[in-house]
Amino acid sequence: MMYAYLSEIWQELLLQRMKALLSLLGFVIGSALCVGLLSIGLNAQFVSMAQFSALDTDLLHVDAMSRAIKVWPFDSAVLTHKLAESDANIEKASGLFHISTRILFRDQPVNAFGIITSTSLYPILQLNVDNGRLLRDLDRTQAFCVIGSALAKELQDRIGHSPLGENLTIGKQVFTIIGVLNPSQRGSFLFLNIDRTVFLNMAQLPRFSDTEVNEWVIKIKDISQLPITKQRIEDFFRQISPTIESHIESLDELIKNIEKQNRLFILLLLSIGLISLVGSGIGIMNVMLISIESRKPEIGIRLTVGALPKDILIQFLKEAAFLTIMGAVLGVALGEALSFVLCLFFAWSYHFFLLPAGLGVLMSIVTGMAFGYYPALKASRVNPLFLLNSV
Amino acid sequence: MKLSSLIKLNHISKVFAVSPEHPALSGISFSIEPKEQVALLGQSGSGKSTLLSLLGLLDSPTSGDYFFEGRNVLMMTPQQQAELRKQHFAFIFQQYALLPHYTALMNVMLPFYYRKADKAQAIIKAKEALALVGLAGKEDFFPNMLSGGQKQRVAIARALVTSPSVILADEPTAALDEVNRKLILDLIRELAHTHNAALIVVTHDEIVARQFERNLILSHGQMVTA
Repeated sequence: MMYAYLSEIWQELLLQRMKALLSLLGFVIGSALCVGLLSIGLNAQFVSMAQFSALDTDLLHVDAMSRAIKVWPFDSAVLTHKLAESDANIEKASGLFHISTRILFRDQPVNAFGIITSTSLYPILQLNVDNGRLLRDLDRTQAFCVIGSALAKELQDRIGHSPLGENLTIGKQVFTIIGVLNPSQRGSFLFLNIDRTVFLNMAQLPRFSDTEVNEWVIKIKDISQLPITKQRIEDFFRQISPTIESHIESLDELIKNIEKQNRLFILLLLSIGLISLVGSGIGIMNVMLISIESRKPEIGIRLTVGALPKDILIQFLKEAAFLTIMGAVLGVALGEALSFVLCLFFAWSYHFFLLPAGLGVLMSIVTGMAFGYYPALKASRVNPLFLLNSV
Repeated sequence: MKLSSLIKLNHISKVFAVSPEHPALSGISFSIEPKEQVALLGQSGSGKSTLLSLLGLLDSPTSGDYFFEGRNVLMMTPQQQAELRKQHFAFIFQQYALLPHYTALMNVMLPFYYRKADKAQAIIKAKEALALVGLAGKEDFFPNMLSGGQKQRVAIARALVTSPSVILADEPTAALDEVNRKLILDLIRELAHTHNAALIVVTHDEIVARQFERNLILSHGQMVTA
């Protein structure tokens, strides 16, 4: 039965080749634009979010202050360890202390910043050496340091060879450079310029401060669990002392804002797509109206041999539905192909999203039927009177 | 006028909005009996095609009454009128009114499509109808492969195939040559008779009209003889 219906509609459309093709083409283009724009938008969103999550989205910056506690009664290493244990979502934690003292190289100041951290900071920020080696826990008694790539280049430019083995003076302390890091984009969230940083071992903290660390960098496993992790960290400090006020900073707010922006961007693209689809719908309506004008004799003949107006309405709606569905399917294929080609062009990884395809098909069918209804109604109202010789 | 008339018109008038001062039809009253064959004669512009369109329920009169098998057609909804037209009326037009992209067989089968008939039965009946009009073997011919006379035969077969109560023919022989004119007219009359259908033929040709026992003559929208 369905085959007979489809075959009948197909035969009618074949007879209207050019007009049917024009209608179909209009719909394919409209639908392809709608699907293509949406798919490209979603792929762009996917790429931007992937790039973003490659930055510091999995990091938390924690500082804990208490007016009641002048000197922290905890060892930095113990506190950091306990903090790391406070929630299962915490992968690693590292204490952090910013050195405010000027840094000199061969008695000349250098444009650099010093920080004292645990060795766990390196995996947290995914830092690795280009030359030499990283600091180890065993280096605690040694006055060693590791420097960032930009600082290393500056020093190399000054002395004409690698700064490995050279000394940096921080305050009154002298530290030997044992490693040069690869360039790194990470740490911007912590206001750290890794490439211009001098890293010292946590064991060096007493040389620069008489208190323990009260600032940490934490790497979490699952970003979606961030609110719970934040709550657990706050609870952790509150359990130590109710007077401790902890501040936790993360990029999740920023990510949410970016996601909001992305959603607006997608809505914009969707609107453009829908406008183009409506434009196609109007085009199709015009083609169908012209087609009906030229098919008036046929409609008149059908009405005089027994067709009721509703039969004509149904016939034209079927033709519109057939064209619309074909246009929607071809449009989805073309739109996705367009998206794929653009992803290749921009060197993005292409992902197939169900939303543009599903929405494209749905909106194409709704638009097609909406704009196909008026011509069909007009066809059903053709008066076969003109078939008579003279009235 | 008998109560059992197939068609009965009482004081039918038709005024077109474009020329309200000149009614296309005025005070038309007559009846048609079952199986009756009538010629509707008149000069061009006399209103005969308007009358045919009213009889065939393709248009509505401005005033008057139209009874079909005793039922007042003008009290019916457009949908009911369309149903009545579908069940009881068939048309034959001067220019054949065949679908050019359909074969002769498909054209004759077309009325069955709108009657939800069984396709196999429709093919058998359409072939029989084509054979009756002398077109056996030409079922697969498209209209452009047929002569004028043959096209009108296809139209006649299509008109008869659903066994209508009334056949309305609008100048059915006007587009044909001398030889075909008589042949086609005779064929229509004969087949209408054998199919128990009333036949109303609109013509401006008195020679054609003379072949009918009854002539309805129209002049300036008024019935001269009924």
